[in-house]
Amino acid sequence: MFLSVSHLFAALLFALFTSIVLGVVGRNSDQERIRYGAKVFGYFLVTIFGLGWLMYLGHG
Amino acid sequence: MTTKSIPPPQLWAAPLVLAWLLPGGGHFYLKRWNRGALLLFAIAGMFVFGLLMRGRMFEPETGDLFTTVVNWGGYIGDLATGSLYFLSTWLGYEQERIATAVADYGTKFLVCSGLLNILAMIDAFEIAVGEKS
Repeated sequence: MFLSVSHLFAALLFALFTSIVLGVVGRNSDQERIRYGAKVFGYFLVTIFGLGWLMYLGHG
Repeated sequence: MTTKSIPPPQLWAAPLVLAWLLPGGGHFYLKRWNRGALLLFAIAGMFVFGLLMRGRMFEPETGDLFTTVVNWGGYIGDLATGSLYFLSTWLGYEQERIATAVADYGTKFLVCSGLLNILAMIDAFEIAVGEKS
């Protein structure tokens, strides 16, 4: 079985899993963990789409 | 400057080894069930997607400095997934170098799941020695 995924899907999947782990280990209370995990995931999204558009526009 | 002494191993050895062997295992041992389940889901999920994308396991190859660092670093990252790595290699998972982007993502997923498990191991250690709740 071979899973063929788009670059975007792979990046989003990576962002999701990484945000969960960083959220769990990064803070001390459940409330803070959820907020921190969501924030990290948001930063990933901004970076993925920001760099994507930058490369698209820079490519000409 | 003060120096901190290393806490006695009987406090942290079992959770640390369990955390290495099974992602989230250290947290389960310390009765942090929800956090353990989240770690297991995220780390094992990333590992399984890495396999499905036909990621390659690194081997400890040596050569020039770059080759040595990349292969040993990748090998340590793969090994850090513990039982996931041993299970998949013992069951015969083997992947040759494929020149596709998806397989390359898969290789990175496999290594990164190990690196995330190292974070989970450190967290289990800190909980075990009382530095975190």
